[in-house]
This record gives sequence, structure tokens and C-alpha cells, in this order.
Amino acid sequence: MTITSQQDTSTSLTCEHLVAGYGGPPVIRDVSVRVGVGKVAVVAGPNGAGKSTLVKAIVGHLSCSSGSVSLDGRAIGNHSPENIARYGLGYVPQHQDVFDTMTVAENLEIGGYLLPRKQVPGRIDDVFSVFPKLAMLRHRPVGRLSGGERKMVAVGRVLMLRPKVLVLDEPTAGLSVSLTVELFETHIAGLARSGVGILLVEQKASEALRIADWGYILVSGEVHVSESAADILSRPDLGEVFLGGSTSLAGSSLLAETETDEDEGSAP
Amino acid sequence: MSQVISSLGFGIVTASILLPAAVGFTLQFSTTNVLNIAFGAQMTFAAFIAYLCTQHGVPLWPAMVIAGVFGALSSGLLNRLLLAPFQRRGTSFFGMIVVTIALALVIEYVVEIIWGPSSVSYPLQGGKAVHIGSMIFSQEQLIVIGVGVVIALCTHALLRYTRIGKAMRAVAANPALAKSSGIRAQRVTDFAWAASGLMAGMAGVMLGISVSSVSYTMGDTFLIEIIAAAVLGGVGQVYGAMVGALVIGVLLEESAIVLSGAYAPIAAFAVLILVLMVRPTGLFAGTAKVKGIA
Repeated sequence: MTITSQQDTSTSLTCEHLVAGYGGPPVIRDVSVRVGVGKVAVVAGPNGAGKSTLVKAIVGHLSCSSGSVSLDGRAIGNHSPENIARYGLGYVPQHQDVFDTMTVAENLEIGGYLLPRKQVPGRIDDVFSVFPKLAMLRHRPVGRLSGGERKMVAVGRVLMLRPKVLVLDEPTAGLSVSLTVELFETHIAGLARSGVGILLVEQKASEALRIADWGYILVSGEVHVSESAADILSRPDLGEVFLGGSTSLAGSSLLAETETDEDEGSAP
Repeated sequence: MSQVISSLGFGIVTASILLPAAVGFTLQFSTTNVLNIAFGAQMTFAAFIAYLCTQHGVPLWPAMVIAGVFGALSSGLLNRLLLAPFQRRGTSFFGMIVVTIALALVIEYVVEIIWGPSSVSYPLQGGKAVHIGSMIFSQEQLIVIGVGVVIALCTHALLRYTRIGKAMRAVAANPALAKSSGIRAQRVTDFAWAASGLMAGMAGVMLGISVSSVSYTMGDTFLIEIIAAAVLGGVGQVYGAMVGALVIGVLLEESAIVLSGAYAPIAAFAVLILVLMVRPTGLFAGTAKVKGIA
């Protein structure tokens, strides 16, 4: 399926024809996604579709064998994760998204590692104003926090550098429904309004699509659907198959393809 | 009873040597995931560098500082030029152990070629012995204890309060996330290896002072005690390594009261095994299964 470009012409993050994998056959093939300035784009798709692989290729943890990634017009494909952070791309991984052995405040300090030293306390206060609960927990080791609190630390850490684009890999995995709604509708929507472009990867994407502008559905390492979020939400066929109802997956022809592709979790 | 206390004095001296060694060993492991069998050999080489200095008229304590600087530089370069390239090519954890075993042998034989197989010793002043209760310390031993305490305090300050120290803890806890926070992980691990090389160098000289001899195999026997201290504290835990050094150091000397010298290590290792049976993760790993320095 060809990729129709987003209506918005000012694009922050552009990935074109990305091919990447873990040494064997590529896990993602010819994937193109875009995130506009202050827009939310959702990448959905079943387990093993290559969502995490796509994210790792974008943020520099996995090298792309072909294709291009650019951030605000600068080519960042196959740059080191350290440099990609410097260019203004923030990344919240699905797992191991915090420094467990360090306190909340220390996690945020590391998030602000690239800042001039004098700016760090002010930025930490900014993060505390977004997540007031963290202020009370500032001296607590993150390993002792609840899942929701840890995710606040993880998001707070990337906010320290005020990224132009934020890439979040399944941020709601393990969160309760109310925390998921709060994360999406308060925090992520708020960030987008402040001009941050957001690439949100979600397996159960219907909640995410409600705050999104554009949606992609990845199946077997390829983009099968690229439409506005509202259009995807209104398509009953997709809603059943990809956006949550996991029990209704059997019998889908698209899913049959995905079952052969389970190497997503084998990242080094 | 007085024998117990006087052995405690020796135990504190041994612990003061074991402490920088176990902390250095732990820093290397936690930041780069390398279990460095060549750590004892690094100590030995630096101890001989100090010996070389004293042969040329440098007083012992400045010679120890020079040995520490040598240890820091050689250890940082070792990580950058040898170990990091192996790891970049995907050498496994056990592969890296084999690399460090080979390295230990190379270093030891280089030392043997340069300084010969027989042991040498530093020019020790002895000086007036200092009595604290029934513990007796030579002035050199007191300085060794002082250096051990200073290294412990500096390590604490480094990891808690400095930017590079926090970066080291971040790299130890989660290297991928540290990189995505903009930390140049390679520079941080080079620094961690340099710091641990400094500790190895100082510990090597302190050991040479304490046992009044320096030989090309001195690091081998000591390595076992370093590993014991590091494992007792909880692998990868710097504060655990400090406590482990204290416990193993004191036990080694106390058990010499009941067991003759050569068998003394048995008691220390029996305690190590008992602790690990009760707490397989060591004293300080706690419930967190994560790897990290603090």
C-alpha cells in the first residue's frame, strides 16, 4: 500500500522506506512514517509486526540496512543514540525505561545530562509541575515505585531536554485504564499542543487513536494502513482486528501473515 | 581475647587493601559487564612500577601515587583499545572472561621478564609502632588504612555527587537508556576503568607494603579474595563490595588465630558460602534484580 502524506506539510520526523532487522531476514520492510510538528502519529499492529524494531531503528539502537530517517530536515539514519538524543529526539523504551538503581531526581538529572548544569534544577521543577506526584517521590529509588509512577519518571526523563519529537514504545503496557487515559489525554495531548511531535507505538491503539492525528497499522513488517486517526477509528474491520479486541483476531487474513513473524522480541 | 583484638588490627589493614581492589573490580564489572580476571595482574604490574620508582630514589608514598596513575592510564587504555573492541564485535560474557585470563597471563609474564621470578620488597621505614588498645600498627600500616578510608569516601562522593559518577551509575543500570539520554557511554566506561585502575594500582602497592614483598604472582592469590569480597557484597554493588572487603579482610586474619596461616582463607570462604546459601544475591543486592552500582 502506498503512503499518503499527512495533510500537514511541516514535518518533524520522517522515515522513508526503512528496512531493518537483527542480522537475519529484515523484520521491517519499506516502512515509511511521518510525524508533523505538534502532531500525534500512532503506529499500531499485532505482536511481532515489527513495531519495536521500527522504533529501535529510528532512535539509533538498531542499524537500518536501507531507507532514511530525518529530524527537522537533518538526516539522522544510523547515527548513534547519543547523537540522536542531542538532535532533539526523545525516546521512551517499552521496557527498561528508567534507571532502577537511581532516585527519581537522579533519573531526571541524567535526562538533563546534556543541559548546562545551571538549567537542570529549573527543568526538574518543570517536570514536577507536569507530574506533581514525582516531586514527593524525588528521593525514592525508582526501582521501588509503582508501574504508573515509573512511567511518569520515564516520560519526565525525556522531557528534560525538551525534545522536538518524542517516540514512545507502548507506554501504557502494564498501566491501568485510568492511568492510560490520563497519560494520553492529559500528558501526551498536552505535549503535542506545546509543539512536540509524538510517535506513539501501541498494540491496543483505540485509546491512542482518539488523541492522534494520523495512524499507521503495521503488519508483518510492512505498513498496511496509513490513514487519519478518525478514519481508522471509523472502520469497523480494523477496529475489530487491530485496535484492541484480541479475542476476535482469529480468522483475520492479515493476522495469518503475522503469525509467521515472531522474531520481534529477539533484540540483542 | 587480646589475640582476637590484635588480629582485628591485621584484619583492618587487609580490609583496607581489599576495599579499593574490590571496589575497582566491581566498577569494571558493573559499567562494562566484564569480570576482569586480570585485575590481580593489574595490581601486580603497578606494584612493580612503584618498586621501580623506589629503586630510582623516589620515596615510597609518591611512588604509590605514580603506580596509581600508571594503573589508571593503563586500565583506561586497556578498556578502550582491547576490551571495548571485543565487546563491540559481540564477544560473549564468557568470551570476555577468557580474554581477561589471557591478559592476566600476559601481564604476569611481562612482569616476570622485566623483574624476574624472585620477589622484591619496598624500602620500609618501620618507624615507631603505634598501639591502639592491644592492636599494634606500623606507621606504614596506618597510612595504608588511611588510604583505604580515603578511597572509600572518594568513591562515595564520586558516585553520589558528581556528574561523571552519576553517568557511571546510569551506564551500569541501563546502558541503552544512558546512550539515549545523550551520555557518551564509551567515555564513561573509559573513565570507570581508569578510576578502577587507579584503585588497582594503589591496592597493589598497599599489598606489597603489607606483606613486605612484591612478586609477579602476588595478584593471583589476592584475586580470589577480591572476588570473595565482591560476591559477598552483591555482585556489581559498590557499597556491598566495601562491606564485603571489611568482612572478608577481618575474617581472614581472625581465622588465622585458630587455623594455621596457610589454612586461614578456609574460614573466610566458608562464611562466604554460608552467606550465599542464605542470600544468593549477596548482602547488598536486596530485592532488586537489576544490575547497577548503588
